[in-house]
Amino acid sequence: MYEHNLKILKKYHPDLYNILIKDNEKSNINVVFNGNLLKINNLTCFSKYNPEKEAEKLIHKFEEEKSNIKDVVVFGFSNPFVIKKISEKYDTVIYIPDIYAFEEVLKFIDFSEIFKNVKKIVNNKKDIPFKEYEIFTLPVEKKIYENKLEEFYTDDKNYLKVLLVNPIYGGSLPIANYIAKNLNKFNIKLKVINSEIFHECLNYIKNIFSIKKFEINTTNSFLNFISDLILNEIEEFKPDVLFGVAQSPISVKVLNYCQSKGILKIFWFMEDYKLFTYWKEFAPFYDFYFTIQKDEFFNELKKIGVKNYYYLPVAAEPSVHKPLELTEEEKKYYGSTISFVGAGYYNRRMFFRNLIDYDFKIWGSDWEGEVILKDLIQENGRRITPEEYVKIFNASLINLNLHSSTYLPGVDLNGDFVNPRTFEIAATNSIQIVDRRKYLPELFKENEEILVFSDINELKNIINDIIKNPSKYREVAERGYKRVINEHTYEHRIIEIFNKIGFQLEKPSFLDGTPDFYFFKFNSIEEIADYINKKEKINDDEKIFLLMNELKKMYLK
Amino acid sequence: MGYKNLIFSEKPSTFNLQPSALVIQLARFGDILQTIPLLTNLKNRNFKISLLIDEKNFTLCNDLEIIDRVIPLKIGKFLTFLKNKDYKSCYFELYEFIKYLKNENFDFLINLNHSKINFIISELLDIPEKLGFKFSNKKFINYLYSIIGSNRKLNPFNLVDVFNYFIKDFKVIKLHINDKSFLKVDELPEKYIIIHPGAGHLLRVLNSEILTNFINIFLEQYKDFFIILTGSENEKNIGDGILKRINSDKILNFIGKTNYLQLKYLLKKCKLLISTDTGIMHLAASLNCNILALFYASAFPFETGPYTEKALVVTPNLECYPCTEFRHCNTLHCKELINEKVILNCCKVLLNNDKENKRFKNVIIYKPYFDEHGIYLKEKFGQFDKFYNDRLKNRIKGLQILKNV
Repeated sequence: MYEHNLKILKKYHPDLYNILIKDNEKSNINVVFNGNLLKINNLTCFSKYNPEKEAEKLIHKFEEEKSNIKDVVVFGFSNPFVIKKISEKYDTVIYIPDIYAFEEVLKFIDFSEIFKNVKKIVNNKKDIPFKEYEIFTLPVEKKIYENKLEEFYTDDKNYLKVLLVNPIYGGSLPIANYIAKNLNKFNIKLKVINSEIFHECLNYIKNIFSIKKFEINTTNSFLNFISDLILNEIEEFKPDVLFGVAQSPISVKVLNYCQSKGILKIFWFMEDYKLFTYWKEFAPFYDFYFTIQKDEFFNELKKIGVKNYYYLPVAAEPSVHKPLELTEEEKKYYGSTISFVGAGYYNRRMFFRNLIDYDFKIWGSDWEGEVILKDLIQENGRRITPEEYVKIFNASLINLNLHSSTYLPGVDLNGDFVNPRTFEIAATNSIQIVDRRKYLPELFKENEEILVFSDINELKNIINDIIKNPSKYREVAERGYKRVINEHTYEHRIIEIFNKIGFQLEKPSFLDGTPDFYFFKFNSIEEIADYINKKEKINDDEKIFLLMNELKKMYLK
Repeated sequence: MGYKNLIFSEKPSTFNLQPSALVIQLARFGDILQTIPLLTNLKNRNFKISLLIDEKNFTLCNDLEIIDRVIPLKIGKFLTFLKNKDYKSCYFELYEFIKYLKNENFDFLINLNHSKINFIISELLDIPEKLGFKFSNKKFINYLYSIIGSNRKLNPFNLVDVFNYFIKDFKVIKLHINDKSFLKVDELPEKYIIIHPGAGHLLRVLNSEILTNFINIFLEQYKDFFIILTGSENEKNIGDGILKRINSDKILNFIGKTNYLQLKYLLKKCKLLISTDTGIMHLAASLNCNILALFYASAFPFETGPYTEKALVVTPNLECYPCTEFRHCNTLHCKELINEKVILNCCKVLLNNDKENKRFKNVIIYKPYFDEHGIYLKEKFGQFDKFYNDRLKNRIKGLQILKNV
């Protein structure tokens, strides 16, 4: 049988014949045949009773899913009945994912008719002669050659694998989530290490010991454990890029390992370098270091041997920070003439005492012990979620933004970087007044796109003017909104980061019905299920989404 | 060349000929126990059985010898992803799980829950033959639903038998589980009965006042007996409430203190279990214990009564009974009807084989019995059940439909 197959193969497909007669590497695929049933790795390749009818069914299903089929590439060789029928209808190429297993099959099954019918048989995707084609994956190959199939579907590996290590806590955590969300829009394969789950453990360690040295020992052991987890992910996922942000628990051990494996290391340090000084120990290990401050900080980075450092301000995430239609109840509850959302830093406590005569609501945490502003602090100073503060921005006439300082009583006149709140408020198309910052003018045109103040008198003048003439200032907010959407979103920042490292991000065009289409297009599982339920025919991926929706409905009521 | 005549060379076959069945049972503890006769029927036909369950029931299922493999659906993990809106991880975990099931190449699938979750999982698997809800005996199942939809009181089919009806030529097999595996509980009294006051739904929890009265009378009349209270961790308050009312060292409160294997040991040694429609009631049935089953509110014994003849089943005789779990009820009159006198009387029948013919107003006491089609209930005392004949007619008609299928 094998000789017969080879003879025909040589005549019609000499290229593959030449590959086949070489001493090919043995794969661990097990091919068994018992007279009328072919099994590969114990999977039945075609029906024992009526393989032709089965082939017709499979082809019919394929044709239902695709439209305007011209040329077909059959991925695999396990079902000759299907290949024959397809090659009778369409111009067909067979892609052989495993030469050794194919050779084994040729010992049992006569492929001569197929060899005559098909246009080409290849084992390299580049050799496929069609420009556009539909891929028909045989069921057995779908199970056995999953990785090869994935590579086959992905065009010449035009993607990067990125491992993002989330911070354990802090303001950089939501930013890490926005980064992940935006990375997923591009030709990036992303895996996220959710380090935030360890926050509670670390707090526990902090509180349980009475003697400091034990606390330090245990904390170090715990951080070492996290490092090992990250190393485990690196070994398994094999990323091209390791991506960290401020407070990501990436140790020198991990960084050295990445260095040895040629993995590119990126860090976005979105903290004040004067307050958080751990960058000194870690920055030299990174290939690319992004910061929200420049000038003096750049000098410092240069001094310690960091080569690739870039200024990259934070931004807004328009899927979260957006204009909202609020109900009357929400407007009443979240709204006020002036609002502030943020933690109770020293300068804010001092400065806001000048505003107690206004209709002023203060939202956010860490206001404990505050007496003078007590009546203005909402809900006992509980932490406010992004969804809530977006409602506050939308409901307030004026959103006050004062960058924090732990030692100055008001505006830090030497403050340079711009905080996330600046972009977030602007992205909701709401009126904002922010304290002057050194880097603000290059991001927004002062008083044209954003209102600024340097002291309490200037602030009060602007507030009073807005109260008298709000429509004039709505236009400023509108311009600020446009600027954010056009230039200052996390999507823009991600593109900038990857441009710097020399990788061109592209947005894949997702086909309706694929998992990526749903991840990309919808925000909730209910929306996905609604969309799928309106379809006449659904595929297996879509059934999994429906299953997710049912699990949620049944158990998370 | 015709492909029907493909020429094959010979090679020794290494195929595994034992057919494999995937049984999907994602409901609660008690439902899994009610699946045992079906699983035994499959096992007797040399099936390799894999049971897909909610991970919560893993310990129980691991104890069931007839199952070759227990496959837990890690619902908790999926829910965490869904809560965090991490749809990508949830999707990929489920994808991997479905892939794993697909790769097992099962020959049969039997779906035992009427739930969309089960239907979708079943749809996703390319298994040659699918049975169970949505797939088999559709005429019979439609008939069953027509009864339940129009008047649930008239449903004569126990769930255990309905499961069995999904396969051809089933045999009525009693519930039985491995009684050799248990964890011994030390210092148990020689004679005791178990009361399990809690239930899966608040409507069905035993009335604490009636229970207290019963315990008082029982301990007075059965001086050499102890009472053991059982229940889960979150039912602790029920036991505490009873102990506050009764100060007796003859009550041992095991609520929240036993695991599954210890519970088996307690049941094995007890003289009687008093319970509503619960998992422990089915466990007791599978261990051949005496059972006094108190069915009221939404629980209906013709559907989910104990699958054993060693039991008495008490129900209220009220127009509104059985109700549904979703119904709000201000009176819960059905609970009050099954008072301490009724319970004590049934205890006497079960413990002393007392044949005294007592009647209680608006209460029906049934005795389960087996016939060739499964289990059924007959009235123990008197003839109060005015739906008895109609229900019996439905049973005959249903079995005829089944036979014709």
